[in-house]
Amino acid sequence: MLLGLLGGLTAGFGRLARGSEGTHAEVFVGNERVALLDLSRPHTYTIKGYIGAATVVVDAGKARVTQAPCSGKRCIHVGWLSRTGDASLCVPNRLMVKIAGVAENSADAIVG
Amino acid sequence: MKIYRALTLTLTTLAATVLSACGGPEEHELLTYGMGTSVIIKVYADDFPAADKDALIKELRYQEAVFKKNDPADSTINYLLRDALRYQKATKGAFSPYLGALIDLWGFDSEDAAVSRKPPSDDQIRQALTQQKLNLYALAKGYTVDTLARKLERMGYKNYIVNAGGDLIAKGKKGNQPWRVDVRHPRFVHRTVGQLKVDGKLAVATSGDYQNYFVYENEWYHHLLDGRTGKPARKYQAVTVIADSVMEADAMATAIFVSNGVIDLTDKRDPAFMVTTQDYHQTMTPAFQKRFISNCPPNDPCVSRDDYAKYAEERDAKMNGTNDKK
Repeated sequence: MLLGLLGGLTAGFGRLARGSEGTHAEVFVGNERVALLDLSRPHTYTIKGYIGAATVVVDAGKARVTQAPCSGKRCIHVGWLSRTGDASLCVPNRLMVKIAGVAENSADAIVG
Repeated sequence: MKIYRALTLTLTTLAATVLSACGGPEEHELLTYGMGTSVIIKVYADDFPAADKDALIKELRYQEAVFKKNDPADSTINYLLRDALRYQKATKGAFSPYLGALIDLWGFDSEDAAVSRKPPSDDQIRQALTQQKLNLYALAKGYTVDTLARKLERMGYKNYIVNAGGDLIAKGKKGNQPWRVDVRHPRFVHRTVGQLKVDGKLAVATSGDYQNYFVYENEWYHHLLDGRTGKPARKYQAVTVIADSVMEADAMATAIFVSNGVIDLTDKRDPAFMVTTQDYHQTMTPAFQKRFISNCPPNDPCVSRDDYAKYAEERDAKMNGTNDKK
């Protein structure tokens, strides 16, 4: 269990690249990367953002936000993230979960 | 083949180690928040010192303060307003810099913008349209990205990406490779429709009905409001524009979207844009096509409404499954 490092809430969005399968999930709060989660190790993490705690579940090579103090819950609705560049963002909580890995062909940025 | 792969991997690792030991250029990233979204700055350089990152964040906060104050006497506000008024004319009022009261009424600038609620009545909308409250956010995010890029240039960076929630400028390369910039599908969060060629410099922005919206009684209400009706424009899912600056791309994408494509672009020499309609029809100008590598067959947006329905069903089933486990 990784306990909350900072605080936050939501209006998030998710987006994703046509990257390859990721190896880990990076969790950012504010400007800081607060956690690096191994996607091969199923676990449930609680991460504290700017306005509250969010729950991030890792299971079978993918990760998703299952609970967040965001009003719109879009960061939850974006669902499972597994490919490099996939991300779930909660702006009010300043919390982002982003999939990373050893991927030669993943995008550096997504527009849209 | 396995030996070859292993050798290649070893050599690559060795090369990376040597380069790293020599302090060679590599990718550095700054993630922060501003203008209501994430701001990701990537540079390919020997170093990206904390002092530079701090200066960029300071610049971002300064621009946010300018747009929060929204003082018409401010030179930046004045500059953006002049450009906005050109688009107001070109769209016969569909695009307007004076929709502040209307946007407040719809609640799209609020932190609860995504929360389901009853949309405003026609009377309320008419009332809000009579007010001339300035709101330049259709250009402000793009302008801020341009400002951050200029600051990076002054700092000496030649290879970088500034990405504020999809309003993006990319310059130079990532080592020997071009930066890779993909365009997401307006309905499939987990899909992209293609890739944009940076070709030295790329300034691009997208206006999409999925970016800031709420759902009420199965109806989708988004933030791209037609200044003539006061209601969301309904023709497009997304409009992506490539221009000389991100501010220009931002403004033009919004103007095309809210005018449902009825816009006078005769002052643009060779406009580069792509539109995806509500019936999943994707079209692009020749200038856009030159810089776009599609994932889909020509004139085919890859997916249909039925595909999307199936995707949504599968996604919801997965989410419900997860909830059950918990």
